[in-house]
This record gives sequence, C-alpha cells and structure tokens, in this order.
Amino acid sequence: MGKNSAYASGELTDSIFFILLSLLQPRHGYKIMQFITEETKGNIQIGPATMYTTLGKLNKEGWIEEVISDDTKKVYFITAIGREKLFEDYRRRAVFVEIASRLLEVVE
Amino acid sequence: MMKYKYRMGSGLAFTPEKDMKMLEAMGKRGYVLEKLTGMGFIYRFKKSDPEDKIYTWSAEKTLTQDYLAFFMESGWHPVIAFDGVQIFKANPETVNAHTDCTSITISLEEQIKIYSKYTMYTGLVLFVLLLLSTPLFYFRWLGLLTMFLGISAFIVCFFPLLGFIYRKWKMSK
Repeated sequence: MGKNSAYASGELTDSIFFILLSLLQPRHGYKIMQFITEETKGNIQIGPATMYTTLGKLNKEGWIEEVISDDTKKVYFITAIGREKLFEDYRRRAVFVEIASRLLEVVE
Repeated sequence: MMKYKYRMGSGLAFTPEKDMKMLEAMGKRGYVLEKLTGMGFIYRFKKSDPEDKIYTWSAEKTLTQDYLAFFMESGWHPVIAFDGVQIFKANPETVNAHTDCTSITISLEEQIKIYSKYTMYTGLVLFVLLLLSTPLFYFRWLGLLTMFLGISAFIVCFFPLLGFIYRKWKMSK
C-alpha cells in the first residue's frame, strides 16, 4: 500500500467513510450498500467489487470485525480503532464544511 | 448462421475494459459469452437473441459464495466464475462493480503479489529445465514437450504480472 493510502494517512475516501458509518450497526455487504445509497439519496453508490475489497482491507487493518460469519454472509461491525478513525475523519470534514460555509456566506 | 463464435481477448490483466466492451458489443449482435477457452485467452460466444448487457470482471483468488452473493445482490450475474478469474454481466443501469480507485489499487497489489510468486516458481522450473536440456533433448520429443510446457507456464504467469504492474503504474499517474 502506497504512502498516500487512505489507511496510512487517515484521510478516508468517501467509500470508507460511509462504510464505517454504516457499520456503527452490524450489517452485511448488501445491507451496507443499500444503507449508503439510501442515506446519500443515491449520491454515493458502492459497487460489489469495491465493497468486498474495502471490507477485506478494513477487516485486515482491524477497523472492522466479523461478528457473524457463514458460507454466504459475513456480518461486520466497527471496532474501537475504526470508530477513532471515523471520528478523526469526521472532524477533518467538519472543518472543511465550516470553512466553506463561512466563505460562501461572505460571497453571497 | 454459426452456432459459436470465438474471439481472442486483448488480455484481462492489461486492458480488461477493452475486453468488456467487446463482450457487450458481441451480446448486442446476438452472440452471448459462454466460456473462456485456450488457457483463458479466447472467449467462446453462443448464438442467442441480441441482449443489451454490460460486463465487468474481477480476479478474486479464492471464489466464495459470500463473494458471489455481493455481486448477485447488486444485479451482477456470474458468467465465468473460477478462482482467479470472474466475469459478470448486468443490466445497463446497474451500479458499476468498481466504484473506487483505492479498492482497484488494493486488488491490483494482491494480483501482483500472487503472480510474482507464480512467475518466480515457473521461472525456477524453466531454469532447471534449461539446465537439464541436454539430457532431456537426448529424447527429442520429451525435450520438446517439457520445454513447451515450461515456457507456456512461465508466459501464462509472467504476462499477466506485467499487465497488473502496468495498470497499477497507469493508475498512479
């Protein structure tokens, strides 16, 4: 993984950000995809290949864990590390929104 | 009208998008992908009603029911499903299977790791065969056969490796 990777830098991609948000409750792959599509009103959609690879990587990094696993479905849940990473990125994004809101108001 | 048509792929490891476009075009002309032959380099199409489908591919090393369920629940149906190579098709409005560059990079890195190992093993076998070429070619056909198998195995591993490295390099630019 390169040094610019979201996992190394902590600057999460939108996909990782929403996957972690959706795993504040235990969910399996397709339910995560549905949750993200519904919550973002279709603005962010994650394909199955991306979802599978990202879940595998998050699991390997210890940001999420399998809580139920059988042959056809694995249910994941966020870990304490995952929550920390999510919260860090939330704060980073909140700063962007705050700056943008302030500047846009000035322009308006 | 021919029942089957065959097309050479441009190399799934190098330009999978090009191959997928070809599969889509063939489907619209009424030839639907049925299987991969020729050590995975040749597509076989069966005559059928024209269909408007999109295709995607993946290279999951160990195919599981969990993996297939991800695709099927998202509207992607497996056409080719082996360990290492999978091709899926879906209706045109279906969300793309790959929606994030990071995950494609992770997948490519895994492929590079796997194929580096295969290339090293087959390279080693080929090297040993070359060392043994004099006694092997004493029996002419045995020599030719073992060399053919050794070189083929090496090519099948080495060229995909080059493809994955090339794609990762292209993505990093």
